[in-house]
Amino acid sequence: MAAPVSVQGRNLPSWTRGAPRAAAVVALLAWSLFPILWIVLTSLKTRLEILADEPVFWFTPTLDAYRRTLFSPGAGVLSDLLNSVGITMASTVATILVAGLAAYSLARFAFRGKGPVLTFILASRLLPPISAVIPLFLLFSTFGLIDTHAALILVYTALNAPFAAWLLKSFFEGVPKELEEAAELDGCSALGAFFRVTMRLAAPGIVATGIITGNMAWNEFLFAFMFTSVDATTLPLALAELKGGEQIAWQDLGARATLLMLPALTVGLWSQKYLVSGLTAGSLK
Amino acid sequence: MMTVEAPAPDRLHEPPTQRRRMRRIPPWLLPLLPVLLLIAGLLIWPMVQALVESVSVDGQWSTSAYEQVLGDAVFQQALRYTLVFTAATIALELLLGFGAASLLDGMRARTRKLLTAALMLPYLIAPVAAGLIWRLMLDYSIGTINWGLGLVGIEAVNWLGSASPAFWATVLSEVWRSTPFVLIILLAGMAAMPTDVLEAARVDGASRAQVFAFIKLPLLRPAIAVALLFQTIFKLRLFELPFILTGGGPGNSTTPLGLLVHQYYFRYANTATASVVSVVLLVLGAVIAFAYIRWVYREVDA
Amino acid sequence: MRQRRFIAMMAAAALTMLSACSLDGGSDDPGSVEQDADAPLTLLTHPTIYGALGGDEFIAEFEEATGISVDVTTADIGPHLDKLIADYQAGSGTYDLVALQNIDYMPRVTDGLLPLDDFISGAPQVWDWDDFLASTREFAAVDGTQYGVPVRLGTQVLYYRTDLLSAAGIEPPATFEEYVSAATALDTAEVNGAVQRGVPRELANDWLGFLYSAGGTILDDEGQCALDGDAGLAATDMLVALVENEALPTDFLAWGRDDYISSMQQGNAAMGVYFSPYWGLMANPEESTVADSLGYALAPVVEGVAPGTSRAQTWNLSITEASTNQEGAWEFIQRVTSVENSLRSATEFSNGPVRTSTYTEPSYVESNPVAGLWLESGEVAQVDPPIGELPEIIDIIATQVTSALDGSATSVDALTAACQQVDRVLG
Repeated sequence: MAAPVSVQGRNLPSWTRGAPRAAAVVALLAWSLFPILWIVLTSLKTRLEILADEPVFWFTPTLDAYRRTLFSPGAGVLSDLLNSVGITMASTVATILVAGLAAYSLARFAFRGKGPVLTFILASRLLPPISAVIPLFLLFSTFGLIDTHAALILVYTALNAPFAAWLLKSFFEGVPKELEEAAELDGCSALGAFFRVTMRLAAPGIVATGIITGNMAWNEFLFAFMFTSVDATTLPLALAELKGGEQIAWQDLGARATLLMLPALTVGLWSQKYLVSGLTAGSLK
Repeated sequence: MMTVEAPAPDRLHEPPTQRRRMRRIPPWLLPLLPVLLLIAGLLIWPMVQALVESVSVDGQWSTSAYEQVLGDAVFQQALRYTLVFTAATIALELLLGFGAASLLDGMRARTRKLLTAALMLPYLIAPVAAGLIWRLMLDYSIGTINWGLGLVGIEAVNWLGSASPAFWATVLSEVWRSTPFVLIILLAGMAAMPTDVLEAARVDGASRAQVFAFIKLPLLRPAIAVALLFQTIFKLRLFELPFILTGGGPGNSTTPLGLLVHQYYFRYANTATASVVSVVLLVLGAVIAFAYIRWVYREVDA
Repeated sequence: MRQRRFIAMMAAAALTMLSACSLDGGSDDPGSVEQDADAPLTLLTHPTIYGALGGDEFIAEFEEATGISVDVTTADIGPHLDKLIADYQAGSGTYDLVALQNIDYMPRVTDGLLPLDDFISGAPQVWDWDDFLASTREFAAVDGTQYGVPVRLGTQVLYYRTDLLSAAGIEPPATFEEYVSAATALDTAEVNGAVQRGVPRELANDWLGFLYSAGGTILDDEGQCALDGDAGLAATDMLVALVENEALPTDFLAWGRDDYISSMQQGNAAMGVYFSPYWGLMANPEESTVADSLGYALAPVVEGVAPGTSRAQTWNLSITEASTNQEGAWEFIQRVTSVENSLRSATEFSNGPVRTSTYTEPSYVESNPVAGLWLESGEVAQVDPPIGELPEIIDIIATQVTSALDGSATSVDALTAACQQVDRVLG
């Protein structure tokens, strides 16, 4: 690929500087993308092509693995997929609502005790969720929530809310308060002004927050693994399910992995700008 | 009570009793409540509960579970593995992230955005999928990694069937998945750098290396610290990657503390010992969280 | 439909949360679960067992015949028990039927299972409880109470490549020594002399088989750890010798059951001590390139031990106490373990039979050359004691035997350490 022009490099011909750079870029791209490509290719192969002594790069693709994964009656991956979609969407919406309210309060009010509240929210984001697994399991058991969608939606909302609140606060603060006040003077209520002005202007931030929390919920394994068994199993579990079998069908595992990755990658690429701004804001602010 | 902002103009027209009630619940509190309740109920309370469970055996106060766990060779190995894994992955991620960031930093905005988008992808992938991908890639006989090593004349590595390579296999997969996070943070840090300072240094004849060591690196310190602390926190949560990639083996060489919680609770049906491991993770997490918060406040004060 | 169910569950969850306080002290006495003979059944099973019993085909027939619908959850051996125990603790009664291995019948599991003795004594004559191999019946009983009905028996046997052994002029090994020397002689660049699974728990399971083949037991008569006795040492040293002679695959410590099965299928293995029902996969010409050159023999033992002694494992079906359709669940068990379905799952789905009538059925014996070997091996096989600490013991064995195999400890030190840890667990 063409070597990017840099500010430096006045004394040497540009290719001497460009070549190692281009090589490094190619190596980085290969390192990042080849594994993804490889599992997708694997999902399109036959068992023999996968078990061949040397990796097979050229072959006639087959969709058998997807057919088996999605449509064979015993596989259950389709219902995992639907569960994942439902749980991810519900928990993301819930997170944005709950965290948005908190962020509104934190961004727009000055009150005594705000410091401790902020610390509390930040600190809870840093605690290892696994430490909560067992008591939560027992708690959910008492309420009959084990193996329900509600359990995962609740947990994911709780896990993501501190991060989302922190993030949204920084986005809301980025909207000048004066704009809101102007709207209030025009006859809006405080909350109305917030919704009409600030929410609209902070929309990219809200999208970013939604993408990041949605991705976390979509990919989450630990709680799904512990808290579900039949009705509320999600797609990540389908990747671990075939592990103990007598014949590991790599093409089927590849298909499951691809089904899990594709939506995440598509949404991520589509919203790359928001994602980067969200990750950066969430960490640096 | 607490200070409340001046009421909005329209509230002045409300009947007085109403106003007094409004005053009792400060307007900032209600919107905060759901988040605080969720955190308290689903994160803090369970963690306190784990603490309680860890010191009670059959309803009696007892530290016997601690004695049992801390003296267990399996626990000691898991603790060692978790800590060394954390250190190794973070060091490699910083190194690789830094290399990639400085490579991308000098590029035109459009190229940089395009490359960032591509390099970011592994971070969007579920850890369980990453584990699966690398299990296939690192297979001794059908894996592409050993095949690639063979092309350049390096002997096949027993990635998953030998303790030390298996350790590096888990490190490699994790580094692959989470370096993009470090990269994005560092890129943002670099983008925020004052260009006039860099330009001035170059005009003064500073070499690339000098600019890097004496200007860029110190300016990046906050970004590096953030990336480092967050990554440390995330590593403590390690669970599904070894679960899928190595099954914690060979033996128990790649079993992290997270997997041990599961093992004690579900496989051995021992709530107390599982809670002890949870508490150990909690303490490790709290220490790091504390360090981070102190750091944040110092930055704010400065 | 999915959607409706989801909303219903959300609503139910919300209601439960709202009414949680008033629910305290409600009726969840496990003995008195309200029964509904039409309620759908949920079966928790391992994917292999599901397939071996007829899979989707059998379920469809059952639903057709009884009008009771069946949901199936499959899980790997570890998570499978996790799910059951989790379900007990949750008290949600998700599962009606559970497939369990004989080693799973420990107190914390049997506590939530329904004793089957009344069902069994009331079963019609044609079902014929006495037809089940006596040993397999015992494996699913604790202190005289029958908690499971056996559906699958497996032992460890030797499968080998007849062409490779006869070309090398080697007889199928009957002792550990012969096994090691044969494996060493047969090992080439393309073919592993012997194959062995090495991922933690599967290694421990195989090692326990070798322990029994060497005449050992897990606990001695006083209930103390006996893993570090002569038998344990012989089992470990046999594996160490295979490693040192480079007769095992380099990365066998990462091998699971799928790897050692597919290695034989692909023609990359000369021999292996296998879980007996895996024969079906290796002898199937569609899956295996060596289907017509497979040989079989009793598992190698240490001299002085009855030939072919190994570890038996059974899979069984049990009914949970929390099941709301126990009659339906029993109907399921009766049908799946009937004389006819036992024969069919053995012939069509290569299950390891548990009924004498299957082993003596001429059509089966004819189509399945290993039937006689399995029966013979089953008669001398040992089972693990049903103690609650077995999961801990298996994990300890996995760790310590691995350390002997990767050279980080001697066999003696590894087993001494194992026993220290086991005795610590036993308290």
